[in-house]
Amino acid sequence: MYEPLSQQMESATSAVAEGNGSSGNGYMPEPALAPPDDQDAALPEWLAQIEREASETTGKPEDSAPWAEGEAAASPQEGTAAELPPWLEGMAVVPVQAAIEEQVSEPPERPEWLPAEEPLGEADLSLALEGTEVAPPGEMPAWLGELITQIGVPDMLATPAETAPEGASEAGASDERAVEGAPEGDAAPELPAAEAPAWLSPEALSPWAEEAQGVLPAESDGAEPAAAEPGVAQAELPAWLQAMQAAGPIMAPPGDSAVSSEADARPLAGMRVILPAEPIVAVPRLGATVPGLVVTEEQAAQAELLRSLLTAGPEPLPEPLPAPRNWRAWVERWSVALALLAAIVAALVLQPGLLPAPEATAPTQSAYQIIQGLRPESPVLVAFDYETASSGELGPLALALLRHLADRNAHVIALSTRPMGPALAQMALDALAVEGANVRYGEQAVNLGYLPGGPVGLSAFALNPAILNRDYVDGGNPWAKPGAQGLVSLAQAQALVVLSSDALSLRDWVEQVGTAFPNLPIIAATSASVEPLARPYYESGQLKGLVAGLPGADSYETLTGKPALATHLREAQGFAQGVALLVLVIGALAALVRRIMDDRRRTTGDRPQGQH
Amino acid sequence: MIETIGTWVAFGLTLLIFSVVIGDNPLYRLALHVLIGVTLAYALVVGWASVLQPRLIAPLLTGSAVERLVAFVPLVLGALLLTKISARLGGLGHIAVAFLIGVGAAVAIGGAVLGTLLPQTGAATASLNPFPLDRRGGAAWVAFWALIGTVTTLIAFTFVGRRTTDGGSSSVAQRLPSLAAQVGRLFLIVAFGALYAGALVATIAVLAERVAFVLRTLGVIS
Repeated sequence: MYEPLSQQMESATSAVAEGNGSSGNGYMPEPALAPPDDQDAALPEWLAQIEREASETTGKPEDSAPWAEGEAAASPQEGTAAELPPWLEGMAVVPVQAAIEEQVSEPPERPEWLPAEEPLGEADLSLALEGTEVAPPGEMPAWLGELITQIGVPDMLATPAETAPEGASEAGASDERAVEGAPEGDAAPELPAAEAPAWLSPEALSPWAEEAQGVLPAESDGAEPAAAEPGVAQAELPAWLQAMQAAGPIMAPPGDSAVSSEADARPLAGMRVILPAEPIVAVPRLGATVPGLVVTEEQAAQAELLRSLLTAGPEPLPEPLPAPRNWRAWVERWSVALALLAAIVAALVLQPGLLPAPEATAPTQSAYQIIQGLRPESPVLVAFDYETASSGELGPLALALLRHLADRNAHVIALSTRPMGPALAQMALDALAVEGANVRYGEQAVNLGYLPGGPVGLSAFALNPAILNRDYVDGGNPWAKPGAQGLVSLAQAQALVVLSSDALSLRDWVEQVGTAFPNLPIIAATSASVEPLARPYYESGQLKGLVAGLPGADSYETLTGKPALATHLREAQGFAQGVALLVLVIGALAALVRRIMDDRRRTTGDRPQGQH
Repeated sequence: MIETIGTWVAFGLTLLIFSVVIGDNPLYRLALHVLIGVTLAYALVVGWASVLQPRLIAPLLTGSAVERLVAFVPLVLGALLLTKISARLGGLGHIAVAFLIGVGAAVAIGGAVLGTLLPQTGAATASLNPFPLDRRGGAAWVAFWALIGTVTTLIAFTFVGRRTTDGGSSSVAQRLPSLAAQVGRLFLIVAFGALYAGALVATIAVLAERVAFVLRTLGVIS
């Protein structure tokens, strides 16, 4: 617990005067926190008498430290030598402050360490000590040496010095630590046992006096020091805590830039003895040198690079320069595009019929056989699970399958797990209706619309198809229409056609619906990019038919005997694929030739001149 | 009339997309933005017309007591899900998220095990049986390569090796797993090549369809 400096000094003085301040290890015990009245009672009578007389003499005990005032007011003739211990009889006759005053009052005998032009105040010890020449640690001022010469070292102080093996030499440093750490701890000034009390040394007293200059005016402004109030326990509200409420700086060691940061917010407002955190944490510093560690130049360079990177911080990126036009890439891109367009346009316009119709694969034939074997008015579910980006490929495939279903007079019940799917389904049905196919809406075809939920929705739909109870076209009940009346459960469906542009959607249908109704034949009509992933389900028997891409649609149209859009597009696609293959081969050959030439040039350049 | 306008709008947007051949340009970006905006707007309309209005709003307003009670559950879950936009109330949305994830995972895992894992494992092991090789018109070499491909591809994903103690050459038995893994990687390369080829073919098919649309709109082809 921190207490005002004046009280600490007073307590230390009292302890020394009583002779019980030296412990076995040469350190002082903590100063007592008793109220002033109790402390006065603990003082010996001679010291109390000195204080009383000093108070009467000065009349303003608050203006200076009480201990200094008491000692300054004391005179050798007024001391009560009978009550003093033997070793203090001489010291009490010539106390410290009295000696200073004597030298001040007698200019011819003024010591060298006192400033000649600056007269001392009557009780202003702090001002007097400001000009005190600081003696080196372990030494004592001349005036104190004279005192010791006159009275000698008392046994009480001399004995612990012999018995104290440690700590005595560190007393000066301990005193400094005690002063610096006063606001945070209960440390009291400590005494070296072998010499005069360290707290009496100038280097120990000067910071106390400087701090007292900062504290005493604040107390004189109206705030009574806590120790001066009788009957108030010091421990209830320490002075340092009171000082924290003040806005002004407190306990700031002058000139200490390392701890000069001042907090702005309470409860640390006004305190400047705060270690700045940011420089310690954020600023990298050079590490301590480890003895015996051999650092190579490369490691040192890397460490320096790392340090520079950490200290430099991020640098703004330069503005990107406009990319120079790469004529070579531009020509290549235009060449490929024009070649592809030319091939497609030529195939579509001229329709040369150079590419023979592909033979229907076994999965395509299987799909055809399933639809061909449907009885009239058989309910068939058709899932339009593709987006508009894939409609160019899956549109002709959907038309080929729907046309075959219409020929078989099946009832098409369309739905989709994609938001865009119902619109695409309706576009296909409308296109077939324009062709005159047997897909009259409501009688042969119904659009159930969007089925949300992904696999969860599919699972629920497999259990109860009636959850889709809103017709996509008219918003009515789709199950009341003739085209959907035959389907109460999916077990009544004769086939399931999944038009899918990605393998995940197809897998959901197989996993959720196919496992629930193993006897329901599932036909997958997929994009060419999905075919490798859908093929294992066909091989395992989970898919009964598989039609993939424009070639599959073309072969299916060939099987149905009604060539349509897929047949024309398939030839155009074949021409474009040929061009793409040609571009790939030419590009690969060009890259190979370039690499060979580069290797040869590099080999020639690396060869020694004598071998040319 | 509307169909004609729609056709010409589609024609113009197709040309804007084709303009990417001259590089990234504002016209191409305009077409992309229109495509994304229209797709999202249409999905929003479909979500309202197909999900929210018939399954939530209509039962709450005009449904029976039971229908209202049933519709109240998704209403509460949806409201809890909306609390995720608030940092303070976001914890309430965990209930709806937990419900979604729990139900979705249960359905998806059950379907994957019963619909993909077990059937595909059974089909792979069926190739070891030499008798039904012509089950789907395949030949013996198809089953053989399927078996080799399956086994070596699985080995390619096992990172287990045996290090020789003397650091010298190992025996054939010790090198067999690494050799099989290399064969499996070849199968993987072929599979990825087939996927890439399929994607290329699909893209060219879409390009051909769009060119046909442009020519049809211009009256070049019928």
